[in-house]
Amino acid sequence: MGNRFTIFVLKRTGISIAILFAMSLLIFLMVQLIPGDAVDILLGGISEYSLGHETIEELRSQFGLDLPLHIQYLNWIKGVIRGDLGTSLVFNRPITPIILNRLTASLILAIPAAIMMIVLGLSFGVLAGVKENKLLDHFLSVSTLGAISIPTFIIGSIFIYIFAVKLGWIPAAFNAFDYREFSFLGKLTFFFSALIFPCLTLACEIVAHVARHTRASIIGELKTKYFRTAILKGASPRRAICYHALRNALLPAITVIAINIGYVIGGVVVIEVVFSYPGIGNLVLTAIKYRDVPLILSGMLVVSGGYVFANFFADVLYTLLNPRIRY
Amino acid sequence: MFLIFRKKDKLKERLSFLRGKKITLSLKIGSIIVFILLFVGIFGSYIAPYSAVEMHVEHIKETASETFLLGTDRFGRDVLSRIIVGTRTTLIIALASTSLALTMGLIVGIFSAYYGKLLDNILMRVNDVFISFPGLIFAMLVIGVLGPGFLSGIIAIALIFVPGIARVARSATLNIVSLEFIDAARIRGESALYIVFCEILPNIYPTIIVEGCIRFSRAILLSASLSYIGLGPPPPTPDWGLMVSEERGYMLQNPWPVFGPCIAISAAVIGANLFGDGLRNIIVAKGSTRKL
Repeated sequence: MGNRFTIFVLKRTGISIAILFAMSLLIFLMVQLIPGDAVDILLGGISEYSLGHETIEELRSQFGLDLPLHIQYLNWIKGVIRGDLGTSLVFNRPITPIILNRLTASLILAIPAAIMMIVLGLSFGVLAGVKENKLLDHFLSVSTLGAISIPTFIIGSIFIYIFAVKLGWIPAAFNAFDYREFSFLGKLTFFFSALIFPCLTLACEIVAHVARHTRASIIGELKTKYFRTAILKGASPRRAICYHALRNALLPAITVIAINIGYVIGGVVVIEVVFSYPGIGNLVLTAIKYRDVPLILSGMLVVSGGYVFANFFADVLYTLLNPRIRY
Repeated sequence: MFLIFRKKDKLKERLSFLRGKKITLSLKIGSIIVFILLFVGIFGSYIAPYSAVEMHVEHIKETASETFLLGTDRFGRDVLSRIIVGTRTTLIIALASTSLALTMGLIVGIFSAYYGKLLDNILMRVNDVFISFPGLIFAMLVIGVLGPGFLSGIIAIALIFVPGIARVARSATLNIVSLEFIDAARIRGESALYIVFCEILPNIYPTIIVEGCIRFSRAILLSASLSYIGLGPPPPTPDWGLMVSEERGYMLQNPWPVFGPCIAISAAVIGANLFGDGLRNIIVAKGSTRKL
């Protein structure tokens, strides 16, 4: 560690911030291409004829929509840095609390899924790699292939069908519960039953992804000379695998894990749609469907920001753990 | 002894590389599934027992019977026919977006690696910005701009794939560009277009083909997910993802409108995945023994 590493981290941070700015510019420009602007959406179907041209122009200048584009962009960026993300047109409320709310909900889903991904994904991957071409490996390979190939909405729908429709364990919809009246244990059961299936569905996909990558790298490590030497020197198979081979096999796996964490925070729109879960992906989808421009901008910025941060984290972690990389 | 060159000799000679290579079971299954997919996609309307959009109003929400093999959906349309004709929708979107992405990605990647220096730097920085977007979210934004539909779905999925393909093409080209035969071609006075098409491309196409197959399976997955969340081709187009999302509320009465397309999507993605994996096993070995 020390000086060179710190310089590397600072350089990488600079690059990430630059990428984030470039992405914000790209999002802003793409959103400008959406036909109709905020005032058109607010007015809905009221025609220009009935309101009069001047009223509409006045509304436009009130929203700051007649300023030149680069001024609009700078105003938005200034607001973001200050923490003020604007007002949503659909919800008619300031955006920042909405996004924080939804982000918390997404994180509540993401964190257990990420823990499962790390624990289960690595274990399954190592198991499958060590027992290569035996029955367990074939079974795990086929199931992970199924888990990454079958779209998440199908896995989610199957869960809903089995547990909510056929078995009736979990209610299919969570609309009309006033959970404030439940006891503590009741609340716990309620939240657990609401969260378990979205979490499991999400975990299926990412555990399979990590397991496949880990399996591939473990198989590579088991063929190396240092591993053979460790076994010949008398190390038990467990020590040789878990202490020697795993440390090297973990390196590419950690990159995959970090990127998946970024994906899980912001990118799971499909699971949120299947389970009607109020997360941030659902928010961006609603914003796009209703053309709520400020919400689209802020939502996409937050999601992309999370992903950029996860990539940055993956890079730094990999450089830290891999002594072969010179920085 | 005469060596009479016949056309079928050439074919055998071309295919001889397959002789020693591992044609695994997964490759066989994958190719069968992909073949079925292409076949049903092309000849779908002739195979389907009923029309995909015709509503048989007397038979709404029926379960599987002799007349309607998988039952009818909530509008009375035959589920099996919708699945069969829906193959074409999925296939068009997946094939078109993958080809578009391969073309654009190859152009960006190869020219970036060939010209090097400043152009390479700029293009790769721009590439990094695009890669840093989570895939589905970027597709949602593109479709938000263009409006949901066939063409916007194709463009959105293609735009997601281009940065990744550009990276692969660039690294594959970088391996070759420093070799002497490229310099020899340049000194001979060949144009850049000739060098790209006749010197670089024939040496990197194995990698590109494998990448394309894997992207193809991801394109099927993405198009199904996009139409599930409502951003794909509009109803009444028979699209698998759309069918799953529309019929979700009626799973109790007839599960087939939901599970039929589910099975179709899963089979298609798994088949394409297996095919791509198997192809990679063959082509990697072939690429290493091929003379440059």
